[in-house]
Amino acid sequence: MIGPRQRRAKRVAFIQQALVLLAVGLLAVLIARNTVINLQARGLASGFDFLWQEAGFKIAFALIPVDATSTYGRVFVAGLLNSLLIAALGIIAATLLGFLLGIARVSPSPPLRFLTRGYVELVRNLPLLLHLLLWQAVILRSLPTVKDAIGLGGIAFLSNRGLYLPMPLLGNQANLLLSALGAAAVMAAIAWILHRRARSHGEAPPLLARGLSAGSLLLLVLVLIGLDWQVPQLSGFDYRGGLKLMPEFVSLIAALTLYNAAFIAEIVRAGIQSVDKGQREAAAALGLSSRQILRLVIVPPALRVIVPPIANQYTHIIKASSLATVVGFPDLVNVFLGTSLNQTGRAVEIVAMTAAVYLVLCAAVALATEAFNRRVALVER
Amino acid sequence: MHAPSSSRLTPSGVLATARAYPFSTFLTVGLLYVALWLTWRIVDWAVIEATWQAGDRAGCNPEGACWAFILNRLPQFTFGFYPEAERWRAWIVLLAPPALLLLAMAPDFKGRRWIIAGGFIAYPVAALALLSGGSLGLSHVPSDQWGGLLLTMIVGIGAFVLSFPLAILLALARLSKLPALRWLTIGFIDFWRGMPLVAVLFMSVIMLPLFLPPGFEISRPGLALTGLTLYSSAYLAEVIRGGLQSVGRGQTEAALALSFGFWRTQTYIVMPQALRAVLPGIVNSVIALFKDTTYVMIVGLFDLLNIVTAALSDARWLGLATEGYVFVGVIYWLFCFVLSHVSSRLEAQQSRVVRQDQILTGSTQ
Amino acid sequence: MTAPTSIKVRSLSKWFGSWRALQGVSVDIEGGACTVLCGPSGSGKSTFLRCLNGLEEWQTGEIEIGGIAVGDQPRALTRLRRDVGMVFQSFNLFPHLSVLDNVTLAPRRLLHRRRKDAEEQAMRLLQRVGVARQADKLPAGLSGGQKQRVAIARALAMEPKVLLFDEPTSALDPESVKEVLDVMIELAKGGTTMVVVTHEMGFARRVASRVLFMDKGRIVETAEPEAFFTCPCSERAKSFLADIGPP
Repeated sequence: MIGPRQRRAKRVAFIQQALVLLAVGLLAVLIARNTVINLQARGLASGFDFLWQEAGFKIAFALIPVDATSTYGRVFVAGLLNSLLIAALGIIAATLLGFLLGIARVSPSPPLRFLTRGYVELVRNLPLLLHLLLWQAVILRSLPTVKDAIGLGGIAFLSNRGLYLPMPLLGNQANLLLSALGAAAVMAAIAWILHRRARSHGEAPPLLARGLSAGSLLLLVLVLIGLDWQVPQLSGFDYRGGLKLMPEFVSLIAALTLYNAAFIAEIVRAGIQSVDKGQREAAAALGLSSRQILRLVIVPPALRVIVPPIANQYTHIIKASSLATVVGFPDLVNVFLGTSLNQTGRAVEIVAMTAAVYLVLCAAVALATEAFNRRVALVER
Repeated sequence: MHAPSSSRLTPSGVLATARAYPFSTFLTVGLLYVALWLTWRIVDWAVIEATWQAGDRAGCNPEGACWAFILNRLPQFTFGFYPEAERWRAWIVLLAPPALLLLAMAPDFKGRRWIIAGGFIAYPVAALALLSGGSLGLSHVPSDQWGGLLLTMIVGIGAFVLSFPLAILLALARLSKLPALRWLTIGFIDFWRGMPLVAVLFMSVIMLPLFLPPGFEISRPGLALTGLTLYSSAYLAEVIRGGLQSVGRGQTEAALALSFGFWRTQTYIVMPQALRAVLPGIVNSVIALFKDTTYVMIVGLFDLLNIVTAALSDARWLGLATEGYVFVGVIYWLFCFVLSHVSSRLEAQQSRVVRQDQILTGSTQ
Repeated sequence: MTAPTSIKVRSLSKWFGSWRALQGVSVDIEGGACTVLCGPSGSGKSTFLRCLNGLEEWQTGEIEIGGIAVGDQPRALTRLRRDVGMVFQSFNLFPHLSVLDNVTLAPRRLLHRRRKDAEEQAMRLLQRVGVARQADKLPAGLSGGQKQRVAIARALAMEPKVLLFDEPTSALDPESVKEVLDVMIELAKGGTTMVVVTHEMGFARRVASRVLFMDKGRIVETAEPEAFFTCPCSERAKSFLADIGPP
């Protein structure tokens, strides 16, 4: 029911919002006008056509083939993939280390608690950029030259020019590899569905599910062994072949991991401590084993507390991957917002594209967290 | 792994415990050894073998830290390229915030309100006028000569002082009843929160000059400060929003019934409670902001970290990265550690007050 | 002394979504007297009271306080609320301010009184409601009865012509109820227009000049307290009084 007072209030609200939109619109028009004038004054072109033009610069590390004749579009993709690679590795490593440290933070051993607490307090009160520069200085200074590289089992080598790893050669095997991976994925998916259905009915998972998951694992191992691995070989002044990780890359991952692990450790500690002691004791009184207590009583509620802030930390890692720019590793910001923008002058287009990438990535993390929260909320009811 | 509980420990003694939990004991001893060894190595390097006075790298003991490098460069690390004759101005600017803070924390000090107002309005203006000079008989010092700790402080304090009022407005708009205003604010906040600070700084240096009317220019520190301000205001706004939402509706209603209007209700009733509720969060944002000031090196400013990094390539002092970064680290660490302790103490205090409140109301009902 | 402020309500209706909380209430509330509003819970009495100072929106109908319409224009509404004090069931004291500052805040910020004058007035009011000794404490350190008396002093500090009480004793223990009711009885003698939503039938019987009985969003019965309590006309009022027990 809407009375005359509500109608008036609605009218007022409409006018107020129109005024807000008008003010923001005016500001946007003013900025757009200034930008156009400024761009013209500097003789800069606009439009997205540059994406198909030749970039003419090389990228020191890329997951897809890039050379001096590649287009800016390809440079964008290469930079994006590098950013994603840093973020993914950083997230995985920081999570592993963070959980270890977090559990150690609540361990019954006082020296272990003390040491991990010292680590956390030391690391998180220093700027990430300082971590990065320090690591770069340490790695560059303390590692041997290529000639005296440290061999890791004869297949990987570490020197002050980077970390050399064996890499599979993808040639005519690519199709075979892809189909094998696809088959493994399908098998794993079916196994997972069967497993879940059985669990929701309270039954043991059928033999087929176990067979399928074992099969997909076997397939993966076969693919890994069957690949044509290329081991780095010393030739002249550098190693040839295999995968070369730049020292910048290694120090970046090290800094991201060590810094964010300290924050994740605190999140994990808070999560574990949030589980009521009484619940633990009640479970012990029911005769559950300590493993069962961990799996059934501590982990589910702790995860509910841990996941949202950890997702926040993941967002931070994704964004911090752009620090690659500082040490000169070719991530998205470095090659696109940096070099490409300098060469083409398409400021508006390039900034918009870069911003869109990060906004989409952050939104993806936020959506995933939301989905998790919804699922957890359902389970709770 | 289970803790030997104290009831088991007391009667039989340490040895018996060690026999009962061999792995745990082994771990403990091992870790203690590691901790002691690390402490010894650090003390040995930083104090015992360290050199405090030398003319160059060659004069330093290679077994220990070469603090002579830091001491030699200390004025530059503190003030950047600020002219030596004018450094008293920088001293005033650097020492004013701690002095004001100490005054404000003194118990029963009546002028606290004035200090807070002065700190937010008068100090930034006065500091800027004093540093850049050009009036009142002070010579002009262009902003590209500011550097070192001085620049770090200017950027940090400047970004906080500017982003705080902006964050309050954003938080209010975020909770507005007008959908258009609310959605615009959500978009604004999420945009800045979703961007890496590196990209934000790049953008502010590249895009801001384009946005401004032709012929209108901002100095590089100004551009970086603008970017950092917008970035941190989005984070602060979310913290303050949490505080606003924690203030009950009854408070607003009581204020309205006393005939307070919207802005006065916010100023006198809601904001003081909201900000107090999220003070730990605000302090944490200050810590994050202070650490984030190091990013200004990306746009070529010589803040503390960058000026030390630059000094590392001095031919007379090559290879002293560890000393340089440890020096920077100690400064950042002390500041952040003290603030994070303030934050966690505030948090503990607040939860105690809440508990007391519950006990009191509980006992009277 | 000016004439006491009366309240005129004409066909006031309010919907919460599709549920009609007030069904065309029309009533004249006498100035300078104490009117008690009672009825079963959910009958709309609190909603009605909150409409009087515009804390609650309504859809149709008019309210006039002292001849001035309670409008929906924020500025006019704020001006009108200066003359209409309100006391809440949950006190709603400002927890970040001392008792004294709770009382002086509105006079100082809205009437621009000087601090000294405002504090003198506040101390007089606190004396009157019997919590002067608590003036420097924070609300968290007070008992429920003390809190509610401070809330009354806070409302009085704006020197309102009308005082609205929204179940002022419902959140209190029996001992505190008496403290607060004594203050209210004192106030009623002073000749302010009072509208009180309460379940304290003893208070209604002793102090009220009129009792309004509400049920299902309507005023079902309007009577002198003696008449209402000895022989209520409506069946609904009879069963309500039977449930709640004799005053």
